[in-house]
Amino acid sequence: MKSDNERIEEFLKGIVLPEYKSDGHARQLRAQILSGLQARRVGSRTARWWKTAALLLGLLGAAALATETIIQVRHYYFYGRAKDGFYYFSTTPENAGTNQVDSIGILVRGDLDAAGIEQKRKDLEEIDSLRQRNARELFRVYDTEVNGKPSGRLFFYKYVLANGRTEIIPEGGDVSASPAQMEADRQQIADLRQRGQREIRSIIEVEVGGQSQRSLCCRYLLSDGRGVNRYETDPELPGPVPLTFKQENELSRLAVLEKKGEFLGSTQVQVLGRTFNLQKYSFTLSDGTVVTRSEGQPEDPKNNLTGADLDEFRQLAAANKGETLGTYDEDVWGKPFKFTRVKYVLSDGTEVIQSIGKPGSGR
Amino acid sequence: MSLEILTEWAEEDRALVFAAQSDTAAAGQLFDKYYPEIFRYVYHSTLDHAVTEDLTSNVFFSAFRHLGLFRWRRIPFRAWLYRIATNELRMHYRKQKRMSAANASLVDPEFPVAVPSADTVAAGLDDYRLLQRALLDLGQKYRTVIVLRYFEGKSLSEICEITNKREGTVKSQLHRALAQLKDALVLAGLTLP
Repeated sequence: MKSDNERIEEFLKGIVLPEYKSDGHARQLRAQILSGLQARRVGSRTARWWKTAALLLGLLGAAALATETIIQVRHYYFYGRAKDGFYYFSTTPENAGTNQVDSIGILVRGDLDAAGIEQKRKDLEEIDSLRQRNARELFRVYDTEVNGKPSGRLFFYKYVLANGRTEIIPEGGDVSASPAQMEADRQQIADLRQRGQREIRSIIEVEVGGQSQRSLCCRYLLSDGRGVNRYETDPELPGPVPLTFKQENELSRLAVLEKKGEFLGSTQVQVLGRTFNLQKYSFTLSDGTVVTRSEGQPEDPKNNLTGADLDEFRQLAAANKGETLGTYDEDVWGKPFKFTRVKYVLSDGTEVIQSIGKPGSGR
Repeated sequence: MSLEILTEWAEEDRALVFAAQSDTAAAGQLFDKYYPEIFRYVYHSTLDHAVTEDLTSNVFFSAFRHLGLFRWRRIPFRAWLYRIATNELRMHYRKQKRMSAANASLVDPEFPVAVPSADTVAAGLDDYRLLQRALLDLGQKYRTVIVLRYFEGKSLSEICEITNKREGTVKSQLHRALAQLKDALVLAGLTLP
């Protein structure tokens, strides 16, 4: 005799299961999922590219302001030499994405042969190791204002390498931050963004195959005086543009390092109530893809120095052609610093005030 | 399914899931491979067209969004999908908890049935509706093992993977589920074979 459970099992096995199919739902869901995956991939690749470009551009400014260049972190590889003579080093892709930025870009000025490039790469790694251990000396602090607008603080550290050489490293923004500091910065930036406390310093528009994307270079001033750039997609022109990671890298190299675009002309666009002057260039990638890339700054007020401005400013500073406005004392990372405030006026009337802090005080 | 076939299937899935993380065509293949059976599982559990489409969408959106987090060592991909689906069903039933079995619109009168005999169809549907109502009286864990075992034809080891329970626990749940189901069906006036 069958048990109750055997009988109910027999009943269940004899059940005719209803069937229902919805080809429409399958097609629609499939399309939604695949397009979502595609968009996320393109979006993340684009973001990486913007961030690399942002660092590169940020460092161009930092490098030009400093008497010597470099900056930080982990394992490096040599990326290439920029048209203007800077050697560009970057952290390895394996380290990408670990600190909110996908790679750290370092620009080094000078004249390096192959052995010199390799030595510089090793130096960067050693310096990073010293930085992690805080085996360094803060000996200068630079604050710069352009037409009254602070552009963020630069910290100059002295590192003594194992072979006895000394490197002076200007560190600002987030490229010099530790992973923990970067996470803290990220939260602070998110808060500043929510409160609208950002300055759009420049915009970049990329157009490929009729699709466009606009990125805003936003400057955030952190509570400790550092200024960091973040490239953010403009919701009015979010893209993404159909470029692979390889194509984005090639475009980045052509546009930022090698400057190999064909100039198409200047134009103006209105973004968030401000007028931006754009210079438009066309780039042809190695696979034949034609990309139009426009980049520009706000028409006024001018509070960001161009490469030419920086050159002029450096010359004025080297020739001591500034007007000393005064001195003041301030503690930086717990150490007293004496700042001297000097005003420079560029040929186009742009007013640059640089305050240089040195250890010690008049107190 | 034999262990050999299961292993082969899992290996194929491993390659497909890996590829799907960077290749849209592979993601499409993965979707095509599992959409029908997950859809069927959800439908057999709810018997509602709209709910089935909604929950199946949730399952695949969630799975593909977290594809990069899927870990092979822990669970086969198929079981992972079933686990997500089971979770979606649990949340759905939780929302429906206050509805009485009688009021719950379990049966869509328009669903097509692919069986040869009209008489069999009618009898089968009646039985299935009755069964569905009885299943609603069972706890979620009992309902899940019944549907997986008898409607979806899953082996004990597959049910263990999906429910993340040991075999002894699943056997015990099945035993209790059958006993409770029998009581519910008898109460509903069904004569068991």
